[in-house]
Order: sequence, then structure tokens, then C-alpha cells
Amino acid sequence: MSETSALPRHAAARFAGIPVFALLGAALLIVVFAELALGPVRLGPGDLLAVLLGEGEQGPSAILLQIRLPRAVLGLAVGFGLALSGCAMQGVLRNPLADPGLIGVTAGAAVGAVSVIVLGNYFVGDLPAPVRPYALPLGAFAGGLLVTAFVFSLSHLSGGTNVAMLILAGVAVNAIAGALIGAMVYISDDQQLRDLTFWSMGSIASGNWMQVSVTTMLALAAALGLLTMGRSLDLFQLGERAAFHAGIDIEREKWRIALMTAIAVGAVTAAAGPIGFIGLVAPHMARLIVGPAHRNVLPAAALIGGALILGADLAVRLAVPPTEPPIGLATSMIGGPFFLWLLMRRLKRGGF
Amino acid sequence: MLEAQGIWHGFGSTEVLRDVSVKVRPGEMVALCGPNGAGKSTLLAVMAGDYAPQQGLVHIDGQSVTGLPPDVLARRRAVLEQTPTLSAAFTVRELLALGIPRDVPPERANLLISETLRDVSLLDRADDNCLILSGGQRHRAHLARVLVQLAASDRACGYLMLDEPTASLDIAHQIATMRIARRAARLGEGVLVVLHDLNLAAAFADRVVLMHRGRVVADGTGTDVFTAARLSAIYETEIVVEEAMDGRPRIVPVYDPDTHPAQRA
Repeated sequence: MSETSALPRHAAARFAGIPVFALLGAALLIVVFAELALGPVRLGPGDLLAVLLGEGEQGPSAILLQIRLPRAVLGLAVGFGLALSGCAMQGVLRNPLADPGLIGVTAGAAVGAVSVIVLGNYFVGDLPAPVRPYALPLGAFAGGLLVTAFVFSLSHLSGGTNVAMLILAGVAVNAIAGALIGAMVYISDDQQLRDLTFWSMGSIASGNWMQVSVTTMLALAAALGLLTMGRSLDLFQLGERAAFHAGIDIEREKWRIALMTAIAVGAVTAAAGPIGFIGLVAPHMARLIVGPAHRNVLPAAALIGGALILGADLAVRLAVPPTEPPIGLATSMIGGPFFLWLLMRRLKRGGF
Repeated sequence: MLEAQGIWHGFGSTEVLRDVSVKVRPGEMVALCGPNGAGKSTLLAVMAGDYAPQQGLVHIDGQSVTGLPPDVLARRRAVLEQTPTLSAAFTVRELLALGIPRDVPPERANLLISETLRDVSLLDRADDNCLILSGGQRHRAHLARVLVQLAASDRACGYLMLDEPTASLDIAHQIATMRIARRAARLGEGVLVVLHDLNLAAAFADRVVLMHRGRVVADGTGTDVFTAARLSAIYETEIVVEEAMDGRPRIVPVYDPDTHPAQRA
């Protein structure tokens, strides 16, 4: 189950510590700046500063405050949420291939979200006004939690999880979710159909501030919670029984992690659609840089996840201007081959 | 004292433990022996607090093990599984750090880890990746993790529970492991160790508890417990007990290599 392909005698060839996090943070800041500055209308650092200080001209100000800033904020929430959820699931399941998308958590969240979009006319109006903006993330959360609980209980039953079992469970869950979403699409009207189609490709462009703030709040709360789980996730690497012997309450920790993962994935999926593979790629890159200890992997993965999402968004926006292909296409195009490479590497080492 | 009283436990319709009572005192090393399926590992799990037995009580220093929260329990007993696993490329030092509670200050934790690694002769491998260690060394690293868990608690004595710690080790590593466990007992910990090797049990344990079909059939010193008649009966194979030079019993199975088990039955 090793993460390093060639095992160095000394595992000290890792870079953990303030300089590395400063570098990752700086990289993220650069991508954020590019996300804000680049596009059909280029904004210089002067424009950005002026707008942020509330002194900008009307044009740049509208572009920045109404389009690019919500997009960047949503992108960060998506990156943090997915990267940390991926880390947590890989940690609990002791399985480096666990990813909210592959094992069906995202699909579960999507079913919840689609149900709210299509069936929402029937009940959202009846909800108390303060709850209404949360209906979509709540639906996604419920769907995501259901799948997470299912997958975690699978790992409990089989006393650990082998990759094949997990991926097959993911195939089944994704198939069921696909059928349910298909049913929703079938009964949706034209407008809903159009919304669903674009939503299902994954995009952080939809951002209006209302939606962005709800998502960001939920995803950040869950992300902060997950960041504190480093020690538990390290202990899970001993197996559940030994982790209990070392002093953690396995069931409680699994529930906590399942809840926070479902909140993060639910909120993110509700706002941006299913975005795949970030939960797989970001933790792997983080482990390559900072080693396996989760107190380092978690923050590093979050920074990398944020940068990857905004980087992917920039790539699709700048590829064919002025059109803006959905970001989910880009993450899957990079993430899919990455996943295959991981699979091959495990096969070569005879590990499954 | 670690004490199991009148334990009954079963899985489905199979009774695995039938009215088992075992005591481990601080500073005492108790070996748990018996044929496969006698219920040794289940008893260890019940005494470790993994699950509550269907009947009976397990007390650790007067408190029920299943009533204590996991983090409190972890300060009073540490358990080494038969085949410890690790799914991440931690260094030996990082592995040991897993045994130390969060509230121990880092300087003290580092000191404890270094001392324990020295005690188990792994200090020179401290910064190595656990996954490149030999099987014997890796097992010893896990043993050190369990030892440091007890060392980190400020209680005068804890209980060390080892499930067949010598099963996959060569002779030298077996002896080294038993000496390490013995030393823990001398320093005041109560040690409960499941052993298949009866000679190791006779050589190292203060007391031997012999189990058969879910019951304790004998409980006492190696000399009292290991008699040829008793062992031959419960293992269903001919076993001779000699007296070694140090006065301890030496248990020698009769190999009779050309006889098939079916013929004997």
C-alpha cells in the first residue's frame, strides 16, 4: 500500500515545513491573481487593487465583483472541499484510489441536487424562507452522506477495503445514480433540462454571490473540520482495530469524517456540478511533496486542490475565448489518465 | 490488576469462551497457551476491550474495560495484533509517534520514542521507511509503538497484550521479542502474551494459562501446567516433557515423521 514507487532507505527526502507551505500558498495566490486578471478583458494589478479598494471604474468593477471574484471564491471552495474529502476518504478506507467521484459520493450528491432542481417546484416553496437557498446543497448533502455511509460500512464489513471491491461498489453506485438522474432528466421541462445539462458537466461559472456564499461557508466549515483529523487519519493507517487500541473512537471518527465529507462534496457539487478527480490528484501530489503524515498532507492537498481547480478553469477559459467550456471536462481529461496511471503502477507492483 | 471473570462468549451458535477467568498482576508476565481454536485470541480481544463478552466482566485496575472511553483505555493497556499492518510510508519514528497521545509535548514524545527505539535496538533505523524494513524489524517497530504507548501514559503500570508476537519471527528475533516483553514486566507492566511455542512460554512467563475448547484447563507455573499427559491429551498428539538444565520443563513433541495423522486416529 505504499505511496512511493521507489522506496528510499531514508524517507527523509520529503519537504515538510513552513517553506513548502509558503511556496504552495504562493503558487495558489499566483493562480488566484491570474484567475482575476485574465480573460476577454484583461485587468492589471492596478485595476484589481482599485476595485478591491472600492475605487475602480464601473466596467472592471462589474467584471471583477460580479463575475471573476465569485468564480475564484467558488473555485477555491471547490478545490479545498474536494481535495480534503479525497484525503479523508483515502485515509479512512486505507486506499489511495478512493475519490469522492470514483466511489460514487459525488454521484449521490448529484442525485440529491438534481432531485431538488427538478422536483423543487413541488416543495421548495413550502420551505421557510431562510432555508430555501440551502435546499440544493442540503439535497446534495443527503445524497452524498447516504453513499459515504454505505461505502464506510462496506469497509467495516470486509475488515478493510480492497481496491477492486471499492471500485466495483463505485461502479454500482454510479450506475444507480445515473439511472435516477436519467429519470429526473426524463421528467424535467426544457429549462430544467438545459440547466441540468450544463450543471452536470461541472462549472464554477454559475457563481452568483448568494449561491457562492452558501457553498463557500459550508465547504470551508467542513474543510476546517477535516484539517483537524490528521492524527485520526494517521491512526487509521494501522487498521481499524489497532487504531482503536491506540485510543481513537473508530465509529465516532468515521461518522465525523463521513459527515464533513458529505457536507463538503454536497455543497461543492450543488454549486459547481460533479467535478471529478481533484480528490484523487491533489492528495497524491501532496503526498509526493510532504510525505504521508496527514497533518501535512491535508493542508498541502487543500492548497494544491485550489490551485488545480483555478488552473483548470483558467485553461478552459483561455483555450477557446470567448467561450467557456465547463471545467469538469478539463479535470476529467487530466484526472482520468492520472487514475489509469495509478492503476497500472499498482498492477505492476502486483498490488491489489 | 487486569482481570477477566466468568467470561462466556460465542459467535453464532459456537461457544468460543466458556466461563473463563484470568488475572494479570502488575509486573507479571502471563502466557496464554493452547491449541488452535482454544479461544486465546478471542479472550485477548475481550480483555483488550474490543467488544463486550456475552457474559462476564473484564476489569482493568478496578474499572470495566468496555465502560472506559478508547483514549482512557489506551493509557492503561496497549495491544499488539498478530499481524500488525501499516498502509502508509511512515518512518519508524513516525510509526512510534502514532502510539503517543496528542497531549504529550513534542520534546517528551521525541525522548520517549528515542529511548524505546534504543531499548528494541532500532535506533539506527529511526528515520527509515517502515516499508523497507525486514519482516522481523517491522514487527519489532510495531512492538516499540505499543511499548511507547504505555510509556507515554503517566500511570505507574499498564498492561501489555501481545497476540502471538513470535509467530512470524526467526529464532533470534523470537528471543529478542520475548526479552523485550520480559523487561517490560520487570519494569512493572503486566504482560499477557498469547504463545504457541510452549518452550518460550515455559522459559519467559511467570505463569502459564492453558486453554482448551474455550476453557482454562490449567493455570500456574510452567512446571505445574506443562505435563506430558495433559499436553498430549489436549493437543491430541504425543508430547514428552523433559527437565532442562535450568530446571524448567522442556516440551518435545514426538515427530514420528512416517505416520499419517489419519492412521493414528
